Amino acid sequence: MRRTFGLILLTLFTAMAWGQTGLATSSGWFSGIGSGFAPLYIEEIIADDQLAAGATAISPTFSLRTGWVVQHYAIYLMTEQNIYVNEAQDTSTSGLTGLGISYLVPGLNDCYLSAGAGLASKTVIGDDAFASGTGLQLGVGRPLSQHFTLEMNYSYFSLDSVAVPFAVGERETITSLQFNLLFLWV
Amino acid sequence: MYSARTSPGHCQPSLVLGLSVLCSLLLSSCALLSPKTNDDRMASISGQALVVSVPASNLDLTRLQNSARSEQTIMALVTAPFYRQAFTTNGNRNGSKLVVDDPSRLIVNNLVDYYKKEYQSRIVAKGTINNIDPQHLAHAVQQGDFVIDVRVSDLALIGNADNQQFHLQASYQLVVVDRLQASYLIQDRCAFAEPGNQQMIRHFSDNNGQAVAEFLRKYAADCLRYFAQGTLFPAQLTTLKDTIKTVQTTSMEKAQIPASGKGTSYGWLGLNSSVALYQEPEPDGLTLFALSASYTVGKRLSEQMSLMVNTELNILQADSFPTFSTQAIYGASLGVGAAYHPNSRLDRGVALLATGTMGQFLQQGVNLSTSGLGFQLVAFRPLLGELQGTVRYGFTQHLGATTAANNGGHLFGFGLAYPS
Repeated sequence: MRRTFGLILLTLFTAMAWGQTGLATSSGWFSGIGSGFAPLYIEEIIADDQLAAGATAISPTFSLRTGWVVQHYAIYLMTEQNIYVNEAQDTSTSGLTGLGISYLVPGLNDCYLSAGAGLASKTVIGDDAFASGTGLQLGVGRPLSQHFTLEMNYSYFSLDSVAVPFAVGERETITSLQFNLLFLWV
Repeated sequence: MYSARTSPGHCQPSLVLGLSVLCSLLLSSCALLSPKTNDDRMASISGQALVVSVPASNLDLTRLQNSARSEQTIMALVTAPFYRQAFTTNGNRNGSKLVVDDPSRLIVNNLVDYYKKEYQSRIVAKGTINNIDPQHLAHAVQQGDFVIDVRVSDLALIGNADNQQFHLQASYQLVVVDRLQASYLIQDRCAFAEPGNQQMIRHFSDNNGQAVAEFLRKYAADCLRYFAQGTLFPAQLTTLKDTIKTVQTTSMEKAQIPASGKGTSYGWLGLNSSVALYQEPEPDGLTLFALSASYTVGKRLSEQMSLMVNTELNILQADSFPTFSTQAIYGASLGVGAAYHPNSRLDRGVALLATGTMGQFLQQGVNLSTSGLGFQLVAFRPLLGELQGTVRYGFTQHLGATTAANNGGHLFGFGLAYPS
């Protein structure tokens, strides 16, 4: 079900993302750095196909990307991390490192769509807990100026184990909605 | 004597540069510079609806651009360099008011018949617009996507100092306004003169300007053929010497093409409310109430279709009798799909979107998985000015690792949106 869900999402949102003003008029190497927050961040620990435990948080996010631009397409390596502190004062970070592909749909009121996939991981800082799995990201964005662009991304991480202290479960999923402000060097 | 322009495709290379310079001085679309002929342009809008602007039957000489006075005699056609010549032949000039029949009406009616046959154009409205000012044009483009107008745009008596005589020069202008692109699809001018037919000014002023009317009528058919098929004729001019433009032309050239339904993309900010009904969990199911802010963007793909992307941020509340969740549930959704606009206006139509949603359901004790996929059918149209109303139906199937919470539900909603 997890894999099917991921595949359906990837097939459905196949339009790709792209920073317009700066990137659309150039080709070649580009880099970007971004920060933002995730107003919706939902962790779910699954045991026996049931929700065993979970958490919601509002977490800041940070991202880096670097890649290559060709006409309306861009392909890039990206990494992003969410970080939050839970009630037990444990600091957790989760993130996605992987490949992103972008496509500027010409004439879409300056907006673009984006997608990325790769390795998802979660770490509890100060504890031995670590989990990894696959992650998927889909989003929309709009350039604000030559270098700044605003993005809204949906992320789904499916982790093969649980990285929460004292929690019992088989696997963990993290679903989040993020707003990011990116600064791009083109 | 005559200056004829060589027809497109048969240009001598040595003439190309000279003619290109001349063409750049003219308003008319020059086939040498632009690869598109009127035929190409009209073919590109095959089957479209035309609004026909029919000029008044008499030429309104008081609307001459250069004239600060309401001159209605033959002097209205005389330009500044030749005033003295015209005045010094006083006594030979008939001071009666000119009543000049305007054959533009014939040209536009025949041209429209030609378009109906050649390009399957449809006529949706027809009216007499005496003066193409922005308000008239704004009204005309409300009726249809393309407005066609033909009228006399230049008319002048050109003097010859040697023999104190004059000859006539005039042009018809064809304009097709494209409301969707907010631009002119066609802007062409058919200019002609009879420098070989020089007469004293009295000749042109006799019988209320009958000679002027006959001159205009004589070349109406030639100009019709030129507008329709690009066929040139011997009396056709490449340059207009000392012309007087009618105010109609000036207004048409400068008229702001109104924004209604224009362009190829749209963006709306909206507020929506909806209710979603789920049958699970039994026996009473689940009801979700949502209030959302949305941002919708779209891009025209063809005459009646556009690509639509809709993003929403939701605040939801669940009602699952007997418990009623008082916690606000936050969620978001993204929809991507296509919209159909039956009359080519981007501000009304029906859209089918594939949607993905997410929300803090499980965390707030609502038995629905965090993420879901589905579809929505949205109908939208303007309600008041630019304010739009939307109505939607959707179905969402929630998907996730917690299989017991993978329920599907039907959504009904309405909203308001404003162009951003």
